[in-house]
Amino acid sequence: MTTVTMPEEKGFINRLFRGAGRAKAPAFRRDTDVAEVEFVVIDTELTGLRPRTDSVLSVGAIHMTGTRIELGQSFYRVVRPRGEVPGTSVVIHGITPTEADAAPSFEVLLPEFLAFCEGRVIVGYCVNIDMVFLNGEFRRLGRRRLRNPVIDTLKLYTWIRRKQRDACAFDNGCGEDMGLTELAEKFGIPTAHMHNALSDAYITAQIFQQLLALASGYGIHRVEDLLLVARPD
Amino acid sequence: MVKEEKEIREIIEFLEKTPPFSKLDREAVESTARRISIEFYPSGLSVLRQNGPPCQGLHLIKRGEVKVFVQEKQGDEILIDYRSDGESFGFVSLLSGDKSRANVVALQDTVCYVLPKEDLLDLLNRKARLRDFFMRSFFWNFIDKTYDEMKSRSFPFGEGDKLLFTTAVRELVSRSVVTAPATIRVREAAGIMAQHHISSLVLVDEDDVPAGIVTDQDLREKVVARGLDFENPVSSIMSPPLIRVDGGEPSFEALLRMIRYNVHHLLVIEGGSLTGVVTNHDFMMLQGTSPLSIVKSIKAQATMDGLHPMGERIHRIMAMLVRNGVKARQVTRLITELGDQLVERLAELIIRDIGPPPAPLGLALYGSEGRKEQTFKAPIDCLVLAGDPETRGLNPNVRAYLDRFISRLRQDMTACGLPLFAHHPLTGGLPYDTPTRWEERFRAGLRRGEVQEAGKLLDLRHLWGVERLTVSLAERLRKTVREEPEVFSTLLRGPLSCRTNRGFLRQLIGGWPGEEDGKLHIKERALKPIVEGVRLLAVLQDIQATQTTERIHRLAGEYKPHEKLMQDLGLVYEFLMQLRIEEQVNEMDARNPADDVIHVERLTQLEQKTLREAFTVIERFQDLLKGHVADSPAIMRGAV
Repeated sequence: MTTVTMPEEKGFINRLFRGAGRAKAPAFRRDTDVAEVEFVVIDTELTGLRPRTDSVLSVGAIHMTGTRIELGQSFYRVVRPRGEVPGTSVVIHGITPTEADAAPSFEVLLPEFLAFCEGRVIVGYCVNIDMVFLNGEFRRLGRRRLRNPVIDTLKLYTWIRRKQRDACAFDNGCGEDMGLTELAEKFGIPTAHMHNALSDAYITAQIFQQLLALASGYGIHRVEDLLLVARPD
Repeated sequence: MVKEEKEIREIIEFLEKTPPFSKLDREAVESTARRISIEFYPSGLSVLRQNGPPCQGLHLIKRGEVKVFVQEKQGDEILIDYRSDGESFGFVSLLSGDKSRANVVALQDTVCYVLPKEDLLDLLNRKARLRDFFMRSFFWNFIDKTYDEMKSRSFPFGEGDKLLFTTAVRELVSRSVVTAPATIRVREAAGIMAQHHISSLVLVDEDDVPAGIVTDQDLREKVVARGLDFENPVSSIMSPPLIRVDGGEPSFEALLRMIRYNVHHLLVIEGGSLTGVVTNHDFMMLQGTSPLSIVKSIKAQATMDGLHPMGERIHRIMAMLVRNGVKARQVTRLITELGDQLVERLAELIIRDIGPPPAPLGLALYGSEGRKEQTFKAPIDCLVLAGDPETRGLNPNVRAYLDRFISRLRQDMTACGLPLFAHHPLTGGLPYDTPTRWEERFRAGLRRGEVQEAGKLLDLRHLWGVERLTVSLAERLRKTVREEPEVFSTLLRGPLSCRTNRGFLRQLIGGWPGEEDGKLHIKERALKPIVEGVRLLAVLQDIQATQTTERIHRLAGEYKPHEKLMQDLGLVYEFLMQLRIEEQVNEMDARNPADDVIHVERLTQLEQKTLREAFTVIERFQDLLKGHVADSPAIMRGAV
């Protein structure tokens, strides 16, 4: 997955946006203050984890401006999957096969989703998986993949933990293998409504909000700094 | 299909239990919830900076705690409030729009729901209840600011604090009102205003009833700026409906109304007819000059009958102040000062009636009046000093004069509703004596075990007449305490007698007279150890100040190792006084006799939390008192 790299030449992010969907001029420059950056925190529910055979079942996204979660501006759609919805997955995300069958195909929601992401930095927990599936859907529809800059909250968390560990030798906590629930609990965020794409996006947004505050303590003030430490591998 | 209910529902639930949003109908709550965004402020973060950019939205604290404070020019920090779950901040800065009025710092990791300015203003326009709620809290801050501004000026009688609350609206109206028929044209209206040099013109209908008002602001914004034809009828730019105020109401009420309705002019109505217009300019004049005030009207009264309604007036004004959020410290000082003025004036009038005293005569206050901490409840603790500092007894003709003087004073003060000379074991039925005899009474009281009552004499403050009498008695009493360990240790029993338990509030309450479950006798339990302990330490340091806050402040300077504790104690004391005085006003509103019992369950969570903290500070202070005894061998000799 090579969603974002951070080459040195100027205007790189600008070019990224130029390539994305119907992207217009970017909403920010690479030295934009984090507080002014428009983020879109995403989460997807999938029929399974194999990109070849499984597909997106629902998409949830929440808009953030800097550290502010704009909950009123959120996006949630159930998508009709290409394959069948395994009955067992109902337990996980609560979407029944009937509900999924009645939903529109990914193609229908595509313009709306692109508009929601436009000019925004994409944020997610283990966001690589979401990006692989979303871009897979795009590819099948003959569209270019999402070119937005991407930030992984788990990556950001791990980076911050390393920084904290440097400061305190006795702390051996590590972020790499932490699940979303664990991470949320660590930050005191209620997880009652998990495993719905929007709820998970909301939880991720709340974690990201606190991570941004912590990161600012380690000198992360501009979006380019953030991308440097928290872009997915 | 947009599916966002679960997340929004969380906000809806929060709003539904958070005043004033809890008063909104379901539909309004839902639409408000959809406009809210969520902010996170890590502990220690400065959320708003004084004089920095204004707040862009109303911040409702979902969880966490912030501290709101202002920084004075001298660098002193003035704490305005601690706010936590369910409370809000940012309203003042949001309305004023130009800058932040205060600093807001997160004390814990704090999550806020932020309602954008436009949405809040929209709600305020549509929902009267919401408007009232916020205007009240906005007013709190406004008063603070007004106080600060007033304090920075000098007034003929020292402080201008009272003016807003004591000056009737009619006293603000400087000239008779100019009216014109509502049918005239804009040009004519402007002409009349220019001719009379007035900033507003009241327009009346054919029955002479006010139909609207046009102000110079209307002329600027609605006519000049928009290029409106001057020949249009003035009714097209006037502002109905008119906000009115009764001439007899305190100007404070008028100001409140101006703020609430965002107008700069109010019609003053007396007996149903229009008598004038009061403008925001009049308020500036009120602050900048020496207007009529209750102090002045007390001084101006030439007869007893004229003074008698003053006690009632003082109480009414004080209750209003507390209800509108003025700080307890300011209120008690005002009560004290107004009470002082009243006694002084009465004494002067009595002397005029019964002739000059045959020996030096002085009035002194002790106890809460001596400390300038008078609340609504107690009769005024006052004693009379006569003779010379060194005289022991008083001759019969002096006694006869004093009997007459005191009987008159007692009678008139009772008529004013401020009873004087409370029954006090030390004064007995005879509230006058020479300084020497008063000192003997003090010792006798201690021997009889009347520790609390005797201790009050250490708060002695001169009120009227010959000052040296009071000063010499106060000095003697302080010397006695400092130099006689037995006296000190006896007095120390007072602040140490009420030990508090650590732990939860439930364990702290119960066991005192008048206390049942969920009630706290705040004076006995919490204020007494502070007031009496601080008094004793102040006397040891020969600090002459009698106000508890002033004593604490001075002690913080003297007891360097305990400076922080003293500062905490000062905050605790103010907090407790605030609780006490608010409770008294509540009781008065409910027509119950004012008492000192706090209903803990009626307190907010933050108040309960603070109360618990307060008791740990008191306990630390008591430890300091005990330790102080242990450190001082001279005092130890006589320790309990």
